[in-house]
Amino acid sequence: MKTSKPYALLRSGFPYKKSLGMRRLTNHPTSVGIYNSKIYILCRSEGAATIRILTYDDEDLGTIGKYGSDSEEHLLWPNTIKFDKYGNLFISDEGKHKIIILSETGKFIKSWGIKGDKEGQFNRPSGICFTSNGNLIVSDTLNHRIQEYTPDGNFVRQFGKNGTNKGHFNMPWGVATDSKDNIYVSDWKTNRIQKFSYSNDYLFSIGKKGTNNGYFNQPTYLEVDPHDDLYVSDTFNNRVQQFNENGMYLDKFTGNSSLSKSGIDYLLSNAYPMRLREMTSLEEQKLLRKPRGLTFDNDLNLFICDYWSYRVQIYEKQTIPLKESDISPPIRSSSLLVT
Amino acid sequence: MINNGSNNKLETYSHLMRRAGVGCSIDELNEISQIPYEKFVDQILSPENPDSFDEDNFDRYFSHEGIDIWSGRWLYRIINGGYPLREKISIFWHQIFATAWFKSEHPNSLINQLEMFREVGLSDLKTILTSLSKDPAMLFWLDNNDNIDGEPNENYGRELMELFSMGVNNYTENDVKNAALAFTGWTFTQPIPLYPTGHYASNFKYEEFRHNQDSKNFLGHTGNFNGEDVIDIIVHQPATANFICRHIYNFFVEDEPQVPAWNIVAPKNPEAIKDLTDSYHKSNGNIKEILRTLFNSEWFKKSKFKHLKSPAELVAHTLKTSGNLREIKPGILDYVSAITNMGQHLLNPPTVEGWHTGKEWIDGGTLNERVNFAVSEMNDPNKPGIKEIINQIKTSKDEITNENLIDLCIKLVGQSNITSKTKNDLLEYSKKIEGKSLKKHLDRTVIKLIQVIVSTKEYQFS
Repeated sequence: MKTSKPYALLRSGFPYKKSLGMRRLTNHPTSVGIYNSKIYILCRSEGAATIRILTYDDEDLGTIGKYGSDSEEHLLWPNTIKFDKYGNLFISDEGKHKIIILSETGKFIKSWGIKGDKEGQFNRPSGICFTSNGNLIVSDTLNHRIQEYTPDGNFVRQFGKNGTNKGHFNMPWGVATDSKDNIYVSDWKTNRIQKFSYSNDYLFSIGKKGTNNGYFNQPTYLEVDPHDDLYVSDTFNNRVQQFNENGMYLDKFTGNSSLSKSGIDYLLSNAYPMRLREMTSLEEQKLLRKPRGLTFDNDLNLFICDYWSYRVQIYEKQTIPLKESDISPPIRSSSLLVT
Repeated sequence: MINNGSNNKLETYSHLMRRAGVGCSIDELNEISQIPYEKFVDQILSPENPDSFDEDNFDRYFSHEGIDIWSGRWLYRIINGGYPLREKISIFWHQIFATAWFKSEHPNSLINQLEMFREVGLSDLKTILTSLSKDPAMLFWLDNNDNIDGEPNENYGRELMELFSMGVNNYTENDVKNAALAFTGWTFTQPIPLYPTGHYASNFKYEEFRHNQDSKNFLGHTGNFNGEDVIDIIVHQPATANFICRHIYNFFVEDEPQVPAWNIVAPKNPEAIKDLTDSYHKSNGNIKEILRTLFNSEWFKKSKFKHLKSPAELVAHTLKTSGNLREIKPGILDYVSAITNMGQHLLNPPTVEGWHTGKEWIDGGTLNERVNFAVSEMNDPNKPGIKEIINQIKTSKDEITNENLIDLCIKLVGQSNITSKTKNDLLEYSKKIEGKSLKKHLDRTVIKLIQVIVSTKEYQFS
């Protein structure tokens, strides 16, 4: 997604747009990628893994990727999927300690990585993202470090070690880069997000364990939008939080889902659950449950994997780009002045 | 280091660890045997660090729906957690208050029921039965959601007495009818149905407008009883103490005949049942106090290997020995499948009676599964538990001969009930494995001996 970053934004809203998928079709959606106007949804649970392809209209285009551990192309514990600009689908697999690359049609291209703690090795690789030059950043979870590779799988560098200090990690999960190639890391065990410059300088940290805005309970997947806003799946708080590039809390998404098209089609042909729905409050059904993977499409739609509710919720970021002349210069302090 | 101290003492501690959990390693055994026995029993009942298992880490990798994932969690908890007895008691109550997935296909409720057993399973029977009677999985399983004033359903009221507390011949049909009336209006909230967005929880709900408000006669008491009153009367019945204590004896001490025979076949050890029922009455049905009496009794200490391992116990005990489940990794459902293939699909018992236990776990098919599982699990010298056993043998001061190698393997696997005949068979087998090159191929020889030990009849017992 390439959108030039404006000087500032008029943030006019972030409404819910629609949901895709349902139980059976998109079981435990874990990560989501978009290519050629198709939505690729990684579905993972113990003993099952596949990538379901849907249209924006919730039409099922089939699956790619097979569960297993016998062959290079099999997916055992896939964690994150990311498309590069050429349509290659990079997949981190925590169970096989590998990065696996498939084509958009599911053809196996290559894989690399073995279990270990040396350069080029992994111990439960989880979050992945790309730098602006196409290199792959990998969260090497049980080695408590971040690694960088060329797209061909050549080791470039690593940083971080186990600990709770600045720049240390304890089972990191999600990674994301912004327009300047700064790197965000969700440090799962310490319930914080750390931001680093591309040259590894620690910049700041967001959060600690809690339920208030800006606090986390097991932060997992990250995404950065073209305006450099950061999104964090605050998984066990059942929400996604939004921050600006300085780490200031902006908003949260707790879920506002309606039924997907596939869900409606199912219910219209099943009378018994239809009756049961009439006997209870449906309020809970709109909420996010253990959200995981996040991504944006080119139209600033935010896709949230609603892991426990077997669907992807989509929200539309509505903004108006501002020129420098549209907004007053930065001010130092809060103000009660009304104009 | 292998402790050559009193074998009898070590075996008693090992026995306790098998019954209150799923066994322990030789290093753990050496450590705990330094603690006076009664003090150690106190620690088992109330450990200092009961929640040491990293649930977050489990959820990171296994956070999804389904009863089998809960069974996998149970395995991880009982093998690696700080309170194995809590996990054991959850299965104990699950066996008695058997509720199955196949009727509701609602895993949330079943899993919540097992979590409830973990939470209250070592408290007093009144609390346990009250929690059970408010449990959505049980309410649906025995149709109490259809038990309403004017159209009572007696299923739960009957089983509460027949299968869950007193046993047959201790109440009348009139008591059943009145118990059912007392539980009218006890139901649960309607969860959002499974499709299209997955399961949602259900909670207990009391509908007063559906509750029978008439006076009731129950077990010699009269009053406008509600469900709690009925439970209070039940837990004070001598029959309840006998029934529950016999269940406890059957699970923790020695296999009894199947429950339907209990009203015609006397307990194997009436004195033990009396000790337990005395404890029941003295503690107001406190399960932890009953177990304290049990674990400290002489008859418990003499009951080594008189209990046939249930499939869940066999798999968990084997994994505890192999050390193969110390870290979170793919494949947990394979172990759950192994338990199922041996005849015990946890959270999905065949009937409201639960599983038939003891020797009824064994038939031609399930014995095959049990032996094959145990042998295949002990196949790799790099599994942490097996590696520890091999290292213990390598650092033993004893000279390694075929005979003492067998003794060491038996001791390290913790199977001191191996008979002299089996031991002779093992000796003959060991001579065939490597001949004179025993030391050269020690790892391989140990693996093969352990595999034979876990395939013996003796290994089926705990």
